[in-house]
Amino acid sequence: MNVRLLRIELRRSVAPWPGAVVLGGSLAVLFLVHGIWWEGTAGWTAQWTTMALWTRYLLGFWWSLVVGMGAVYGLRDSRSRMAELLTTTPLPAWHRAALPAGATALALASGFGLLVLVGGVEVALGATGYLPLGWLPISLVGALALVATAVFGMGVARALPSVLTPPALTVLFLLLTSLLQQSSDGVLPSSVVPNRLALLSPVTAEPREMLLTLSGSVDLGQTIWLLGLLGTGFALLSAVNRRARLLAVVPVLVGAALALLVLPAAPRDTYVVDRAAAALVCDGPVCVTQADRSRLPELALRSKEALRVLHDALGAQAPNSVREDTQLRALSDERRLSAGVLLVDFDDRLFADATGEQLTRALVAAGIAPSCFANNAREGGGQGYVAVQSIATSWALHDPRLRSLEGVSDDPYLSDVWAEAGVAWQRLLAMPPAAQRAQIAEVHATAVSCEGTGVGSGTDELSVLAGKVSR
Amino acid sequence: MTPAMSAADTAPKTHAWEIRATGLKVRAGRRKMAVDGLDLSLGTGTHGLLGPNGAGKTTLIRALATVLRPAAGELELLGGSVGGMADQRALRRRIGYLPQEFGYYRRFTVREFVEYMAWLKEVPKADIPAAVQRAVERVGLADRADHRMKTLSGGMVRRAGIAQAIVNDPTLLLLDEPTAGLDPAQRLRFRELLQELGREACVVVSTHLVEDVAAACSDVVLFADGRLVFQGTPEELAAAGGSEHPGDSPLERGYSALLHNSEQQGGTW
Repeated sequence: MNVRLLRIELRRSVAPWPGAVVLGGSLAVLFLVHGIWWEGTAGWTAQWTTMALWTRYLLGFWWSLVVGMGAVYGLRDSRSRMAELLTTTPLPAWHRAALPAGATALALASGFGLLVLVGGVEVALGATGYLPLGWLPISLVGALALVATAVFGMGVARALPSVLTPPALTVLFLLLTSLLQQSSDGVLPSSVVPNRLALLSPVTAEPREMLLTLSGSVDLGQTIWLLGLLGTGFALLSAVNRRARLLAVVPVLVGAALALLVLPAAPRDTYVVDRAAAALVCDGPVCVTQADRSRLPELALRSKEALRVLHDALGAQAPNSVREDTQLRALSDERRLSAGVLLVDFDDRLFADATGEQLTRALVAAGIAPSCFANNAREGGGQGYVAVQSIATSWALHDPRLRSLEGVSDDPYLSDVWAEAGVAWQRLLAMPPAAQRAQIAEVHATAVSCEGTGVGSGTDELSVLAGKVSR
Repeated sequence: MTPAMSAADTAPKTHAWEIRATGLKVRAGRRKMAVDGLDLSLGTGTHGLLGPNGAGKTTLIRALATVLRPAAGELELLGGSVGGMADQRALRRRIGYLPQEFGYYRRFTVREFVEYMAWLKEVPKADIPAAVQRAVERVGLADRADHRMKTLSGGMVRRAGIAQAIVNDPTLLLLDEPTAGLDPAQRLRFRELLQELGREACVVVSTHLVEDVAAACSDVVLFADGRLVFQGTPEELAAAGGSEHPGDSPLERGYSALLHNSEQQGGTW
């Protein structure tokens, strides 16, 4: 390819725009909007894989725009009334088409590449020390999806040179994107249409569970399909007669057919647990995943202290090991707890940024009164329960007064709960020491068995603590 | 500065005529046979293609530019038969074409646009900058070379169109209404350029301005209703007319006379 002409093309055409929109738009969303992508262990800069998946998720905004912008670019020859002059030139049409297609590809690959680079720098500077390579295919497929879609738009506009082509393509892809969109609310991301069809969209589900990654067959199937789309786009862009335009449909059909054979039919083969990331690394009784390895030293240190406090408080019922909670769970589903193991969910508000003494308190809370309902940026199921956890923790650590594990909320419901908690704390302390231990043991047993009736509202357990209800 | 030369340019000429049409028929659209049984032979020189509106001039030029395929008859360009796909690429490298409706990329500068066309015409990469500069200078746009196409006046756009047509030093140069939009001074300069180009190439200029033909062409082809009416020098065209024929100049009177005769013979319009 002639580099000088490529430079002219990039300067004088709309070729750079799709790339600029993808880069600028994504960075604006990711940096300026305080969204769920900033939160938790599956945040966009928390891990390499989640970074790659978030940039793929954002394609939901750009996929349909890029096809429309490609189509606008593809209309250039007919808008400029260049078609006749171009047909008399000797350079083969495919070679001529390679210039605008190359300019678009370069712009999009650079735009998306820079986005991934920014994400990569953020992840590298962040806490995680885990560097897998599995995220690379996810991002490469993302770049291919953008290029293929833009070239497809260009080709369609060349074949159907009408001002209606770009908006029609944009609307069509918008409908496709929303129809094929996968939701991550379930245990595993899934969609309303059959799984294989949904995977024809390069837009991934919103990352929620840090250990999930796309399976190799998804990457392969999507690559085949997108290459077919790219092939058809390019063939349409370089077609000089009706026969060539008809034949141009072949690559996308073959690509789709092959992709449907390769793509997994079931959600469980689509998003799979990254075994390497999920492998446990332990320091004595304290284990975390490889992905969260960087948290181990501090956690191990604080766990030692917390396990001792728990043993004093609960005796034989106390947990004797600490493990990162890696269970896959649908949104708002109950957590599965066990008596002997203190499960640490780094997404939980108590643990999210906890260090030092705060981490010890969080560990004591999770050991003495683990919440059956997740309390994190997405789920507020255990919010009221924090009052119960605070009482139990203050009691176990012999605090002179009740200390909240969380900042004070201005939620009127929660202020009622905290008022009740104050009363319960006083009543608990007024009991004889043996009765206090019995009450705490009862709270622990109830918590571990997840028998509480409320959805983590905490009111029942507060009643237990206050000695109102005999169980 | 040296013009771009290729092996095809320096090879000895093996054909008698740059353009040779025998019983050529070319359709315009689906039904209309706009060129209908044309016999024509043109060699090196500047040939003015004259004829009333609707005579089929543009269709003929488009067929010569390999945009349209002949429906019947024979068309040989630069010694090769048109229609054989194998030689088409080599043939197109040696053609320069300015369509009647000349389209261009508005955001490109003149130089960038001519450079782009040079690439499409497969001018050797190393020769492109010099070939572009020479073409731009020849049409008098050197001082505007780095201006965007969209900032040019109508006459300048036409000249940029001629620059792209000649950037590959074509052996066969086809210009459809090149003087449209040129002011009188530009037209004079353009006629000189045509004479210069006609010394080495076969230049076919379609026009309905008889005075352009008189000033710049070595040869006149008068075309009406898809057929050849007259071929000869401008002097012969002038001689065909008498004072009884309408027109302000001898050439116009000759033109009127020949068309009038053709009308009587054909009797179709």
